[in-house]
Amino acid sequence: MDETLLVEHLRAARWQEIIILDEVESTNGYALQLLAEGTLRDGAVIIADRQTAGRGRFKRPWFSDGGLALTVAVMSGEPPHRVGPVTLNAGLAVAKGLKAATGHDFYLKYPNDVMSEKEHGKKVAGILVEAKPAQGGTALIIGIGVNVEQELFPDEINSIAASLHQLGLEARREVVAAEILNALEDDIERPFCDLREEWLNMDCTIGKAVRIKNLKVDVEGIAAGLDGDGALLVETARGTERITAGDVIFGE
Amino acid sequence: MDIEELKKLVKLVEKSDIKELEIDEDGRKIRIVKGAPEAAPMMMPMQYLPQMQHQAPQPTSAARPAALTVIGAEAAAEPEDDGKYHNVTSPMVGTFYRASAEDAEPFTKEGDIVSKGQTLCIIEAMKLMNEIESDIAGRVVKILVENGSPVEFGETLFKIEPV
Repeated sequence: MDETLLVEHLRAARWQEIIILDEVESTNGYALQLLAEGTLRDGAVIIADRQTAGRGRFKRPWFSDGGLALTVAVMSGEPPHRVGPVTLNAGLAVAKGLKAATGHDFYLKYPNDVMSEKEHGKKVAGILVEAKPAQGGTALIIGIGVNVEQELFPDEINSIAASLHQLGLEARREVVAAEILNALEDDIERPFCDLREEWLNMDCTIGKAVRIKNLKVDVEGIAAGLDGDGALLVETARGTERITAGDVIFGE
Repeated sequence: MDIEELKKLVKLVEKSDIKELEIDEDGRKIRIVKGAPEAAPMMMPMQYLPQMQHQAPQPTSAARPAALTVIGAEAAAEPEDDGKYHNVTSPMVGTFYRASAEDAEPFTKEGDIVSKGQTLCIIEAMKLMNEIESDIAGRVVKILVENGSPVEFGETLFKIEPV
């Protein structure tokens, strides 16, 4: 990674400590390790050229060869139950950063997948936020994986994932990283209600059939919108339900 | 009892004439029943042993024996004196997970001694994984929520006996 190129494009002042690694198992794992050692600072950024064990939700492998792996640490003064919408802010910031780096419009799939197109898009970036209680607040480890240079994906994800390169968007990873950091600085700590309008403008899920699992009662209906706290509103046969947890599955 | 022992046991029960076997070991109750369970929701408590459903021996002969189902592993009776236990509650609405990955060991199990600040579980909401730590040192007496279940704000997750 060309550090000077990264710094050239970085306008954000929020990210004071940038750790660039040739190779790491996972940037989130590295941040969690620093947190455990008591050396993770607010505003720290970890960027890796290569993740050997990049992971998504529940350590599901994230295919990161040719991609960009970036983790930012935000020490929030809020308790854990108040930080939920940060995952939505992060998705919005990544989509905006990618637009700034490439000129292409990206879309958001609730809660925070970044998609290549409004209809039938493929996943270009994914976000995994891990939170731990820290100093009376919450340490937020915000992990972002962007598909940048991949020529090909493994068969099992080829139909659902796309890289910037595959979309015909050639951008240096350093520039992508810098623009995402710039956008994160603007958005990550704002209340979601301030960003809601902007989020909905980039949404590709409202109006679609949706099923939410892992709730006391399964919810099925049409995604109708987001409220000011980032909860998904779903129109069901029983009326409008407000969803703040569960696996959100968009149907065909 | 660990997974290997349980698997062995399931095989033994399948081969035997036993229709139902119930074991109460270290305060954890395991019941193995041959044939389809009558009450499907009873399957829920087994979620922390997900392998069982895949690895239960598959009948191969033409004369198919009744499917073998492990109905439930429940903790034994409620702790008698609730007042002496410390409750760890959920700080948010979300989904309760006992391990950091689908195939990982649970962070803790009943009977374990935990220290203050030790991770007990994860509560997920909107793809944000919240690690919940023990706010007290003690012994985990009871885990009240099954892996993968929804939890409400303030719902008791763990009962811990201070040490």
